[in-house]
Amino acid sequence: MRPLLWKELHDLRPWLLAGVVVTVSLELLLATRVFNPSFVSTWMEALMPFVAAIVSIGLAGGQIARERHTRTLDFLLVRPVSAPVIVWSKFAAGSFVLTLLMAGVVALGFAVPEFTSDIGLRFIREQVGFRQLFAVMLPRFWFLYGLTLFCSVLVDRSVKAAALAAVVVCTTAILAIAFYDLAPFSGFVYWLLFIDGSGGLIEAAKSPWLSAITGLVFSLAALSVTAASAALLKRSPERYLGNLGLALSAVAVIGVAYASGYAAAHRLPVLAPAGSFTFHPQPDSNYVGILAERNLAVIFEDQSLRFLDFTQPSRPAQVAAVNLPLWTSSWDWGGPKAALQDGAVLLAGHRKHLPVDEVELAIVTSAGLIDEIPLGPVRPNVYLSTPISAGPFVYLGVTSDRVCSLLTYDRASKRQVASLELDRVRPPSSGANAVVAPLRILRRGAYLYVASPSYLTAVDLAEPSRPAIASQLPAPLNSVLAYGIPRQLSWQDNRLFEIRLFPETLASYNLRDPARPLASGDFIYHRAMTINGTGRLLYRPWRSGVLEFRAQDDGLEALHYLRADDAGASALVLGGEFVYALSAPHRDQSRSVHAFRVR
Amino acid sequence: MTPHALSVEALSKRFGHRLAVDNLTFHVPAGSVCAFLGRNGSGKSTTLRMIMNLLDPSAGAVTLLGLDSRRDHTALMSRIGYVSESPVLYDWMKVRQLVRFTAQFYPHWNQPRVDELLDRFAVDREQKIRHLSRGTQAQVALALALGGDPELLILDEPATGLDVLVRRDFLQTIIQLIQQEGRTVLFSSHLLHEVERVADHVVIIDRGRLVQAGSIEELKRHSGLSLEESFVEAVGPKERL
Repeated sequence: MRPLLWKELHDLRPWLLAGVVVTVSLELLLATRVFNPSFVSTWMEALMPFVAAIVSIGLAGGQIARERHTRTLDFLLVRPVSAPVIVWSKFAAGSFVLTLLMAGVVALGFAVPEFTSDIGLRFIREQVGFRQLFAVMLPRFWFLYGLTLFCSVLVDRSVKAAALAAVVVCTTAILAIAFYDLAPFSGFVYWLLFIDGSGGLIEAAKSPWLSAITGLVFSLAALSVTAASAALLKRSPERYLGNLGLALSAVAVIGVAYASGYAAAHRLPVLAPAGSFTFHPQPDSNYVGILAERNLAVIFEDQSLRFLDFTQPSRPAQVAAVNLPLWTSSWDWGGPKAALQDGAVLLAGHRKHLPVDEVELAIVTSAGLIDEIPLGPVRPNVYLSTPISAGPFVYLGVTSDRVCSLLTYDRASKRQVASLELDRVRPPSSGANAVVAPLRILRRGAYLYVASPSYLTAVDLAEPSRPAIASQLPAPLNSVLAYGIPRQLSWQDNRLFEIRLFPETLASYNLRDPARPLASGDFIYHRAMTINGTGRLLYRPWRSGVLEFRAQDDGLEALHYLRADDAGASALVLGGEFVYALSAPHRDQSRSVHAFRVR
Repeated sequence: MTPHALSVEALSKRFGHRLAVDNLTFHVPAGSVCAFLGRNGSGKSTTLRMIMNLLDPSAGAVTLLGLDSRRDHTALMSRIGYVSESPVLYDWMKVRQLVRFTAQFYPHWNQPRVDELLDRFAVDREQKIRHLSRGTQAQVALALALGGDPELLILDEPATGLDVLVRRDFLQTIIQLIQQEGRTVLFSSHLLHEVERVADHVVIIDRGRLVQAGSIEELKRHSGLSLEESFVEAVGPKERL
C-alpha cells in the first residue's frame, strides 16, 4: 500500500498546493484588510460548503476515472496488488488531503475573529468554534468524497465522475431546500452539508451527541461507499457507465429526488376550504389581520374592519364594514394586536390626537366603534401585546422602558385595575437587534402564560382583577441574538408550546400542574412563526395553506393539509369549528379568507 | 503430456452488437514460446486483455498457471509479466522512481535483471518517463514486466515502437532469456519472419475466431508451407500482414 499512497499523494499534490495557496492568500488578504471582512460571512454562509463540495468532488473525480482513461490503471491492475487495495489507497490519500483542505476551508470562516457585525456570522460564531464546525463538516464532505470516488469507478473520465457527483449534490441540495418547507418536523436539517435557515448544521456541530451520531453515520457511509467502489473495481476493471448510462443515472437521481419531493408534498390528505371570501384591502394598509369567533371572521386593516359571516360557509357574506378614522392599528412580528369576544373586537392602536397621539384599545362591533379604553399618550419604546379578553377584564402585555408588565383593565370602568411586573429586558448587546415587542400571551383555563424575553410566566387568574404570578421558568437562550424575539405560544392537551429560533424548535412544557409548567423537550419545527391550536390540534401556515398537526410523545405528526390558494396563508385563526386562513396578496392585490371545517 | 501454462476455454467478447472474440479455445504449453497471430482488428489485443483480466469476457474462462484468471488474479500477477501494446506508464516519474515503485508490489524482485535490461536498452534512469520516446517507454515496460521473474510473460505487439536495430534482437534475446529458464511466453506480433525464428508454437485467429493452433513444426509438416504461407492461407490472400 505504501507505494500506492506515495503515488496518490503525488497525484493529489496540485490540489493540496492550490488549497494552501488559496486559503493562505485569502487569510492574508483578510488579515491585512485588503479584503472587506464581510467576505467572511459570505464565505461561511454560502461559499464554504460550495468550495468544500468542489474540493471533495475534485479530489475524487479523477482518482479512478482518469487512470482508466489514460490506461495507467492497467499498469496497476497487472501488478500483484488487488483492486480493493488500489481503491483504499486512493481513499486514504484522498482523505488525508481532504482533511487538510477542509481545515483550511473551515478556518477561513474564523479568519477575522473580531468581525461580528453580520447577524448570520455572529450567530454561527456564537454557537460553534472552529473545532466543532470542522468536526461536523469533515465527515459530511468525506462522504461526498467517497461518493465521488464511487462515481469515479463507474465511468472513464474524471469530468463524468465529477458531473455525476455534482448532479447528486445539486439535486440533493435542491431537495433539501424543498424539504425544509415540505417536511417541517423532520430532523433532516441536522444532516445537511450547508448552513441553511434552520441552522441545522450549526445545531449538529454544537451538540456533541448530534455531531457524533451524524459524524459516525457519514463516516460509515463514506467507508461503505468506498467498500462498494473496491468491490466494483475488483469485479470488473471496465467502466460501468457509458454516456447513455451516465445520462440515465443522472436522470434517475433527479427522478428519485423529484419523486421524494412529490411524495413529501402529497403525503397528507387534503382538505378544501368550505368557503372563501375575497376582498381588496385598502391600498395604503400596512397590515391586514384576521380574528375569528365561531362563524364570524373579522379582517382588520389600519383604519377599517370587515365583519364576515360564515354561517353558510359556501356563501360567506360581509355583514359590516367599519371605518376608524385617525386610527392606526399596530402589529408586530405577524401577531395581531387584537382580540374578538362576543362579537366585539378589541383593537390596540394609536389614535391621532393633539397634542400627542393616544394609545387606545378600541372596542368595535359590526355596528361600529362602541367604546375606547385610553392607555395613555404614545411614547417611544412602549410596546403592546395582543389583548386577551376574559369576561369583564382585558389583559394586556406592555413593555415600557424595558419593563414587561401585565396590565389589567376593567372594561366597564375603562380603568386599569392592576399591574403585574413580569420581566426586565436586558439592554441590547452589541450587534443584536433591540428588543421591540417581546411579549406573547396565551390564555388556557384560569391561567395566562406569558412568554417574555427572560421567562415563561404562569399567571393565575383565580382572582381575575388581580392576576398573580404562579411560577416563572427562565427562557433558555441558545443565542444572544434570539433574546427578545417573540416566542409564539399555543397549547394541546396538557402541553404548552413555544416557538423558538436559533435553532428553530417547538419547545414544549408539561401543564399537568397548570400553575407550574415543566419543560418537557423540544420538537423539530421549521419555518413558521405562527402557531395556533384548538387544544386538541395545532395549526400553522404551510405551503399554500395550513398544516394541521398534533404533538405526540415522539414528535409532531402532520395530519391534514388545508389547501387555500397559491398565495399561501399569511395568518390563521381558529373559530368554533373553522380554521380561517388569510391569504397573502394575490397578483391583483386582492386577498382571500378561506374557512376550513375541522374536527 | 505437457501441462498448460495458459488455457483459454470458449472465450468470447461482445462490444455491443459486434462479436470481437468468438468462442476462442487454445492452450499454450508450459515452457513454450507461443506467437499469437492475426491481422489488425482480429481480436488479439482483446483476447490478451481478457487473459490479463483487464477486460471482462462475455463468456468463457481463462486458466493461467493452473489458476483461475479472475478468482486468483492478484496471486497470479506476481507470477505473470505483461506488456501491453503502447504501454502507458506514470509519466511524471523518473525511470528510477518507476522501477522502485513497481518493485514494491512484488514479493520477489529481480533488480539485477531490470538493471541489465535498462543498461542493454541504454535507458537513462534519471529521465522522466514523459521525456522518453515511445520505444524506450516500451523497453522500460518490458524491463518492469521481467523484474518480477514471471513464469509466464504475455506481450502484446512487443516490437511496436522499437527502432529497427533494437527490434532485431529484441524478440530473440528477450524471449530466449526467458525460455532458457523454462518459462512460457505468449506474444502477439506481426513480424512473421521474426516470429518464426523464436516461436515454437503458434495461435492464429481471424475475426475473433481460432484458425490454427499448435506447434510450428507440426504446422509446417502437415501443410508443407512456411509459417507466412500458412498464415496467408488461413486468413486469406488479401489479408497479408
